Amino acid sequence: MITEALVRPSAYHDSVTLLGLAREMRGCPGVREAAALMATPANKALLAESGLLTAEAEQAGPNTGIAGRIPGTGQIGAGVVRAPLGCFEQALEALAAARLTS
Amino acid sequence: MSGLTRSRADTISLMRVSAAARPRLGGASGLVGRIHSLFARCVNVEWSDGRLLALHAPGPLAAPFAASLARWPHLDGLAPGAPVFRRAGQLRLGGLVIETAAAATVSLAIASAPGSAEPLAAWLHGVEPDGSGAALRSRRGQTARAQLRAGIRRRDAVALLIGGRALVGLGEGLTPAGDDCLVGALAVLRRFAPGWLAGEPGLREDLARAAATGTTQVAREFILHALDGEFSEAVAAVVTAASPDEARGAAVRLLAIGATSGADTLDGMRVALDGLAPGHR
Repeated sequence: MITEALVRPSAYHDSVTLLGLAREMRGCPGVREAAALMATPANKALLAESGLLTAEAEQAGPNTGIAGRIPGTGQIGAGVVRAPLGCFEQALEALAAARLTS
Repeated sequence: MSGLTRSRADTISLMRVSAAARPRLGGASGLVGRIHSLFARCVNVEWSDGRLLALHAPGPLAAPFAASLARWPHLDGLAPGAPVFRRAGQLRLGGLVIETAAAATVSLAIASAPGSAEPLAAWLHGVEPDGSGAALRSRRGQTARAQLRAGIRRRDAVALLIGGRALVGLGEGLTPAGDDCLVGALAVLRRFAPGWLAGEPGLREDLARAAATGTTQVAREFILHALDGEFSEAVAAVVTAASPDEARGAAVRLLAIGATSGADTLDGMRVALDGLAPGHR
């Protein structure tokens, strides 16, 4: 089981987009769980309690999006994955593209 | 500015601006800030003092630091970090010119009405969201909400502070669910128990400090204004409702905001209303 975190500094998305991103990530092959959170101290504490706070996510500041296993823990998008991290990036880019064309 | 850029300038009127944001529209000409973030129907401008001004599409003011435009422009070429200039009666963001002089000023301070909050609590009964932020239902979120409720019930500023600080920055969303919950609770306290909050100046300072380092810049702005008694029009409409229909209608409109932001705010209102309920002190 692998835990990955994708950190996006100063990447602002509205809440609807963030929840959509989490759903998208969960749909990636091999992903057991994923979430998208802002890297606030409280959210990082939530991930740490679950053993999911990667070193990269720990360094992120409150205005940064990161990617997590537990739904509802946030734009920290850490994922417990067997799929490559590129899956998360593709999900994020797909949402960004959809937003631009909508 | 090049002639080409000038020929592409899009001029839009500002229709309404919050009283808190109004002073930003006047004053000396020059560089006043930079674009902080861009969304489908909102541009946040980070002013030179580090505070935010939200420029959004027509509609109720979505924040106590917001102003609404007559129409939503194309934002081609604008990006975070782009400079924002102020001139007499105008804001300029790239090729976008916003005429500000005629904008109506809207007070978003919730008027205090000390007394029973029971009617509002009853009116909101049965207005249920599809779902609030999952983090509020986590162990950490439940504990924080219980501390907040207990602090209000006992008029115990320390307990309220512990709960409030634990909510700051907690959960999903650009404005994390915990921050929305805290703002909802503060709106109820501002309406129904203003004297208690005013008598605890240290509480304001401590929560402001927690928000300064514990959450996103956008959420921090909401909390700082809430501590000063200022809220979005959607939030104010719920706590100042004068009838069951008005309260329920306002609550339904609040629930439609964001993914779970409205639901999380309503959750905070309910926590505070429960804490204020008679028989619990």
